[in-house]
Amino acid sequence: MLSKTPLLEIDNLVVDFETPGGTFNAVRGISLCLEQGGSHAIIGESGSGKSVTASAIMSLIDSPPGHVCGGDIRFQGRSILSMPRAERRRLYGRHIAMVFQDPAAHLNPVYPVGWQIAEVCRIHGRPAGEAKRSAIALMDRVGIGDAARRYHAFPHQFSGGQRQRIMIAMAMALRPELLIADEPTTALDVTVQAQILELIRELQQENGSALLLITHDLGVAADIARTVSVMRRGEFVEEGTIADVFVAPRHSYTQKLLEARTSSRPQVTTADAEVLLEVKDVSIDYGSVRAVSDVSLQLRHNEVLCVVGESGSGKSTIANAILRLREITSGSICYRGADIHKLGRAELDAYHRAVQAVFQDPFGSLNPRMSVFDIICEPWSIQRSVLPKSEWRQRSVELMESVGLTAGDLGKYPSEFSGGQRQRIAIARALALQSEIIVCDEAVSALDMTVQGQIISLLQEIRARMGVALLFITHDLTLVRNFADRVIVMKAGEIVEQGSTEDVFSNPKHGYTKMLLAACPVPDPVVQQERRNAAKVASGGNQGAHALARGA
Amino acid sequence: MRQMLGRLVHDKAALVAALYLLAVVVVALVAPLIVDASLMRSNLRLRHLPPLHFDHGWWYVLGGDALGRSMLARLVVAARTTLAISFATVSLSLVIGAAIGLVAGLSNAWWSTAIMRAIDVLMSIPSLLLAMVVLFVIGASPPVVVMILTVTRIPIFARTARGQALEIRERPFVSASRVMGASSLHLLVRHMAPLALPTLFSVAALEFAQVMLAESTLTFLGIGVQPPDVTWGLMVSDGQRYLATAWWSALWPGLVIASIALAATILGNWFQVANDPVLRARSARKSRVPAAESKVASNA
Repeated sequence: MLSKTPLLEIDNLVVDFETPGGTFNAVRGISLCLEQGGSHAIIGESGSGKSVTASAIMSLIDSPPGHVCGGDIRFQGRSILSMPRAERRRLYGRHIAMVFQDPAAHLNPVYPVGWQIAEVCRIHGRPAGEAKRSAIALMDRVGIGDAARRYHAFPHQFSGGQRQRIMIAMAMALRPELLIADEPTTALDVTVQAQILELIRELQQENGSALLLITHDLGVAADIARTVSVMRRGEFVEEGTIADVFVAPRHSYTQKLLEARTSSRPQVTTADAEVLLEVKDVSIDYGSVRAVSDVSLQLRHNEVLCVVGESGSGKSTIANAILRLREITSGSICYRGADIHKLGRAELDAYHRAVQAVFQDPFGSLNPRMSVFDIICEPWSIQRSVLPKSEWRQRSVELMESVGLTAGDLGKYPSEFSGGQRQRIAIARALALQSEIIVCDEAVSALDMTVQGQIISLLQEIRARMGVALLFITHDLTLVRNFADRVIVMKAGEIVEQGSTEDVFSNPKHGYTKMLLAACPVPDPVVQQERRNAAKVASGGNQGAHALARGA
Repeated sequence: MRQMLGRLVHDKAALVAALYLLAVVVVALVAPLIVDASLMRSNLRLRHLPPLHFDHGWWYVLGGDALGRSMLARLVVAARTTLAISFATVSLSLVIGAAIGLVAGLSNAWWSTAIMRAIDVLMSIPSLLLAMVVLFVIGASPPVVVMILTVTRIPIFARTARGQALEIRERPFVSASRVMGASSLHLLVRHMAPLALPTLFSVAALEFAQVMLAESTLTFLGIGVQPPDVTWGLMVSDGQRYLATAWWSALWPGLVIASIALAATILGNWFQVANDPVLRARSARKSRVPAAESKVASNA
């Protein structure tokens, strides 16, 4: 299969964006060579230029403001950038196909999915009847059960995982030589992610396609790619086979990426500490849907309790109930023995002072019209008795410094900060009332990996210094391991397993916990290979994997 | 306040609009001092005097109307009534509508829905019919016209405000505020109003022109402002009868209405940008790039 000319060659590519603030060099002279049937991953954090690279290959860069101002991209020896548009169009879809991050946004909501898959075939000149037949076959192949009937279903009738399967079916419809996958599993739950990656791997082998994977997730890269480039600020800082790069990273940035999640956890004994918050048999209904059923948990003084679950597991609903943002249907939530739904006015104020929150979206959780000073002071303007106004300035400076920002930042507005910095501001605000409990609802999920690491260590430091308890809600198991004292695993509104972090990770009892642990890719190619095989055996070989896939 | 003025000077289009509106307001205020009573008397020798020459003094530079009165003098006198009616109507309906909409948007309770349905009912009544009935019964005078127009404009502000409130209510910073134990009043004053107001002001700027036209419709039907009071709307409706022979009698008041509306809209947009740190930063950056400058002006 190996030909003399490589399948895809990127030669010293430079992409600039004209922004109002000046020229932004998104991609600064990268080179890449992908052989037929190879699989290469470009790893980088947001803004590193990895998606721009993919867009450049597909001529998807918005121009203006962006333009390719240097280098070349060659596909099978022919320059994509200089070929006529008509010729380029013949290439895309048939020879080069792309899978995007958000299948909900890239499927047209008003057309049946089957029609959309068949469209690719029709565009490239197949008769309609044949296109329909192959679309149904493709849907079947990517694991959509009852494909002939589901051909007529609309995108909203599928789950996120199924939509991504459909996107993959569209991309693979004409057996392209090159598949570009831009963060294909980022929006998906970890167990679904494992299935999608498996599907991509299988299809790649069947069709002999090459894969160019764009990802921020080292685990995903380790799972599927053979070679890797680590991208930072528009440049490749490290390249090589996945084994070399992951086992012996040479560049400090790669080392930092690999270290980001492996910081050690300070040992704190909290087993016999006072119980601050007790959730007893709580059920919460959304209309006729039971989102949470009979959940009980305890949060002790100065403890880090992580609630882990996939989307729809009810973990955020529980957090909202504790924050009194959501009414509960039955059961009780007690703070220091008192039911929080039966508190008097003064006691309720005390509860609000004791429990604060940090939310997921760093862009939404700060009012864009308020200065940072106003944001930090808002808790004191609501809870007047906590701090006299004359001390607001001094105390807010202290808070800013305690989260790693400066007094000078107080006069700025949220839009002037990065996601990680905004999350620091949100943490400073949560600390303003000297709370005992901080509920972090996916507080680092929207952040880049290295920034996640920084925020986690900040939370750890705050916990040790100020003696707060953290209720940490997340979908990401790898984060939890070095951070939590205890872990609760939730699925479909119920707690399936809880225990100390050591126990849950080294000796998971419930099948779902085992599956979660197995599905979570680790940034080590050798270990990941073993884990994948083990997971396959555990689920009864390929047959089982397919059955699982259909359920997704 | 000084900050806002600084930002206004920075945005040329908004500055011109503001100065123009200011000039019109000043003219309206001093109108009785500068307009001689003789100019308002009919003078049939100057009937439909063509505009744009100075044979009869500069008061007749814009020509004469059907009764030979100075167009310029009548525009100046009409400014007072017109601006007073429009301003009163828009501010009243803005305050009442925004209050209803924000409060209704903050709550999920049954009365919130009830208020909005009542607003919908109000909206579905033909405003002209309502105006005719009320004006016929009570009698036409500027305060009654203001009242009628206010009632018909409230739904627009109420629905805009409620839509904004519903959207803002779901944002995480409002949740964060609730977690701190914030009262509904706090949410309304600190989060809802500051974010909803710029949009409401933009709507108000557009409504300003709408109200001037609505007032002229009532006047045209003979149930609005009555002579000897005069408004620009009245002048347009008077003049349109002579469009074929004396185009200027409708054109000048029409141009004034259009230019005031345009200036109000530009100022409304500027207000939205000036109050939003994100947009402000963006436009500040833009204005440093010469090529983008014309774009800012056209956007404004």
